[in-house]
Amino acid sequence: MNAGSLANRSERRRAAAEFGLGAHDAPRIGMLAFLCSEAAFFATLIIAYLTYLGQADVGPTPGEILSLGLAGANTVVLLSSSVTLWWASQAMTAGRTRSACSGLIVTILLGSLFLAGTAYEWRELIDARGLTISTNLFGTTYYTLVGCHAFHVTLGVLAMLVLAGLLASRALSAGASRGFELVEWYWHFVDGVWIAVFLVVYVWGR
Amino acid sequence: MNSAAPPPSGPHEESVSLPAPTPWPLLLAAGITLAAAGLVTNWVVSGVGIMLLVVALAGWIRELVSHRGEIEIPWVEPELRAAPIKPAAARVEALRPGMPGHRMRVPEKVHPYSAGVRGGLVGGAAMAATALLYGLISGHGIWYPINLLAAMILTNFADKSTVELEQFSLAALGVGTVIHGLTSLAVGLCYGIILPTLPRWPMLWGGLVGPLLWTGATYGFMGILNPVMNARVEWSWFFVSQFVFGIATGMVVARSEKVPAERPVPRSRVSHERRY
Amino acid sequence: MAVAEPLAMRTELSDTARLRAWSTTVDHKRIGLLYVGTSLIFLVIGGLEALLIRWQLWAPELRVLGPTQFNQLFTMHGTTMIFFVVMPMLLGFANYLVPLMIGARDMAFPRLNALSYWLYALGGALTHFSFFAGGAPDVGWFAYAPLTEYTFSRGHSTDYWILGLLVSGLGSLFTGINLLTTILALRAPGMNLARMPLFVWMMLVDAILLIFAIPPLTAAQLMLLLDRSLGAHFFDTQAGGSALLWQHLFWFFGHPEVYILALPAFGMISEIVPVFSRKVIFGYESVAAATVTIGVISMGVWAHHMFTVGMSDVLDAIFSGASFLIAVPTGIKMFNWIATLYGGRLRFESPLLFAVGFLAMFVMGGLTGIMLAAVPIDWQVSDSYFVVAHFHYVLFGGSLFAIMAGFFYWFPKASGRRLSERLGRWQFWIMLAGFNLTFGPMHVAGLLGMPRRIYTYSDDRGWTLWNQLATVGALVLGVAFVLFFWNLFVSWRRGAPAGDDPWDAWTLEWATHSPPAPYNFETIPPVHSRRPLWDLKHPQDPDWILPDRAQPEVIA
Repeated sequence: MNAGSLANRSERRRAAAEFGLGAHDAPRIGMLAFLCSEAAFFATLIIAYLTYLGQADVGPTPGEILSLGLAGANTVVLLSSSVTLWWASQAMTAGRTRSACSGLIVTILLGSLFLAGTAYEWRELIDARGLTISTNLFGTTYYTLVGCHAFHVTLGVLAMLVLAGLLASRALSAGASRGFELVEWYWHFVDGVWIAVFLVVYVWGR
Repeated sequence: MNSAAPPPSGPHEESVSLPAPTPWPLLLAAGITLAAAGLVTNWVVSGVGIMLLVVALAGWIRELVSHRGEIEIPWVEPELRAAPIKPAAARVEALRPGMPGHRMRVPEKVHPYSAGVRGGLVGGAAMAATALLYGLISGHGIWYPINLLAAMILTNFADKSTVELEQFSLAALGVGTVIHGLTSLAVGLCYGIILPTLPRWPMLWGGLVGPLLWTGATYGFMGILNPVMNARVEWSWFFVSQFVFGIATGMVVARSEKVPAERPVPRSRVSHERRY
Repeated sequence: MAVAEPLAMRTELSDTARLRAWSTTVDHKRIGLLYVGTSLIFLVIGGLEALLIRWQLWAPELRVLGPTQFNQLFTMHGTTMIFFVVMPMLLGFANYLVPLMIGARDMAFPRLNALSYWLYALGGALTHFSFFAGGAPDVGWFAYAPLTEYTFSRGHSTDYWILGLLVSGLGSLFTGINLLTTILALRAPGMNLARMPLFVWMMLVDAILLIFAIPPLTAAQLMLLLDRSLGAHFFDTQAGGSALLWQHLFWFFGHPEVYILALPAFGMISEIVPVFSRKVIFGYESVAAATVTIGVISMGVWAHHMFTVGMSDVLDAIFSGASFLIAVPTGIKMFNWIATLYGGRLRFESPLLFAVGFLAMFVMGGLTGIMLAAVPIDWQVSDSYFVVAHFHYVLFGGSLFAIMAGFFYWFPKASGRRLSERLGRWQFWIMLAGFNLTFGPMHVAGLLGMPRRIYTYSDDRGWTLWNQLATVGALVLGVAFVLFFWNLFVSWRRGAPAGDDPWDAWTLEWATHSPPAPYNFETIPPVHSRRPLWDLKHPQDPDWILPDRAQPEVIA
């Protein structure tokens, strides 16, 4: 996240010469380590979900109320946002600031659409189906797992908004940007987590 | 000696670029803490915390993007710099064989791995001979001990009668030979490595203590490892065969020529190590 | 040897300017000092809590404290000592030393480093604020569910525990990421992994443990928070939730945490013992390999804290076996240190005194640890004072003695002055006596059946004597700590000047000025071996091999 520790590129180059950094690249290692810790976090939540799957004393159960169609559509939205972000980063590396910016905006829109889909789904579950976090164990684990993921998506959208703002105001020059690359890694990771969540909650757990 | 050269600071470049002091980490942490504290006090506290968080994050990002976060720090005055490291006046104590010096390495000499392999093979052969001898003398025949050993893997042997276990079985011969051979080799290699580290009498450790330890362990665990053998084994013969193995392997290993533990590093590797 | 007075950055600053300088700093050395200083403050708090606990247990049926206050004190003592004293103290040392030892200018992410420190300090403050907001947490440092559920723990004390630890845990996680990145990316030219000081090796494994152990705790605490504030049912046994899940999640963090607290201490010992034996560490590779092995196994032993909850025999056997197994790499290190001492020219100054004290005390803690890993013994003495004795021998006799050794060893680097050797010796012997007097009798009390966490006991149980010995010991320990703080206080300003390299040591931190300039090194010394300073001091007999010369250390 803190990509700017040696953000100054000349400084980084000098540090590379001075410390023999070469292939070792601090921001990348740091982001990778951060993503490892995030993976451990989500693994814990998924373990909790699986532990309590089918353990609820009272209904509703996932099979009764979860809609595979809505979740599937949401999945398509989120996964396509990974593709658009990849496209934006290609443009970024090639120095095409405008396409990078527009790719980023499309990604942000897709991410927001995913969040809106989740919000719609939750609203249905709460209002129409009467499932809240305190209804039963399913509600408890479901809202926690999906909510934590949605929170991470929100953070990703905010980070991309910042990037887009910086790009638009020319504070961020085109060409390979370390901040851009790391946000991209984070976004793909969050998408990967969604695949796991989707499979566990909507496919296998239903 | 490329790495001995001072870092690429030009003759007139006596300064270092470092991150500048910044209040944003403190404010961001305060924002996070207040946002959390609001959950147990008042939502207003959380609100203030989140506002602080946003302001701090914005300040932080702006500092990174504009490169204002770096300052050039000149070198401190010469008397505040580290004094160059001088060669020590005192001489280093010479290393003496057998005595722990400042770079102690024990053992100085070890058996080559080949000695362990040879010892394992010889010991394994001696042990197998003892087991076959048991088969002949006890009247069960030479295939009996082999089948018993193989029962560790071939679990269907548990249902067989003693008479069936005296018959020849190709599967048992194969499995038994593999188990026996691998175990003998592994123990032989261990002998080659461990014996030179033990004091004075290799035959005491290899011929007596070693077999005693593992026969004891096997005696305790045989019920789990190999119930078939556990039900039928003649423990006195079992012990004898283990000691035969230990003595034979120990003798072969102990008689082998020792080589220095640390071999001089070949030149090619030295130059390889200094690549930076 | 004449050594000049240490010239720190002695431009006289006003108080506000100094405050601003320290609160906005991103220098790893200052952040390290902040970590250590803050954890010393928490050490005083946690120590006073311990003294109150011992006072209450001085005699049967005493009423110095009520049961609720007693619960709060042992909870806060445990929480404070583990999360706000030992862990940040070690992270502070790591912050100060790792960049110096690997020849770097700073940590990889200096600003994130500052954020980590402030999250820790403010998280600690938030947890302790509960004292003024209706009562401190009283659910024990591992906060077992369902005791922590809202039904049983009304008010906000448990919430303070959760939130304070969440905030400071975030800081520890960032420090872990920072340390890992620093060690992997910022090493000086020539310092490959096989040439890193062992302290750095241990911190590398420590950082990885932090990265993988803290998130599960964070997730578990989040679940608990949801249970308490939104009525979720994770640990609510009435609605089908599982109290056992909390135990699994907590100890999945909790046991690696033990090694997070132990590994840096091992690292300090691995630096100090060779220097004061005037020998190379015996078996560098095996120490590093044992560290990695400990790191791996420590992820798979957590349920040995849970033998009494009634898991299956198979699980009991697996976790018992894994716990026995982890004694092997730890034992390897013990032998490495002892073999380093063997035949060395020992200089019994304070750092080595404390290091040897560590070796002896840690072995005791390790042996009782192996006893507790045996399921039947654990069933018998679980949650008794025997367990209390065991982990104090590990964390106090182990980690804290090593930290003391570290203070005496590296204080000259940070201040330019030595700690008083005379006070140090007094402190060591008083501390050793007080420590064994406090925690030795607890073994006996535990075997006699005294449960931990009871606020008083009747006099017909035969526990009185052992408790009184422990209380006397605690007072003796208090004296040792007063000496220590006095020594720190006086020596920081008036200690004997130390010079750059007071111990004639071999790692890179001693190649800088004491205290080092903000950028650490004007020029980085060449690194050809594990002891770069030895090579410079003994050009005739360096650790590395000149290609055109016969290897010096092979004996014909």
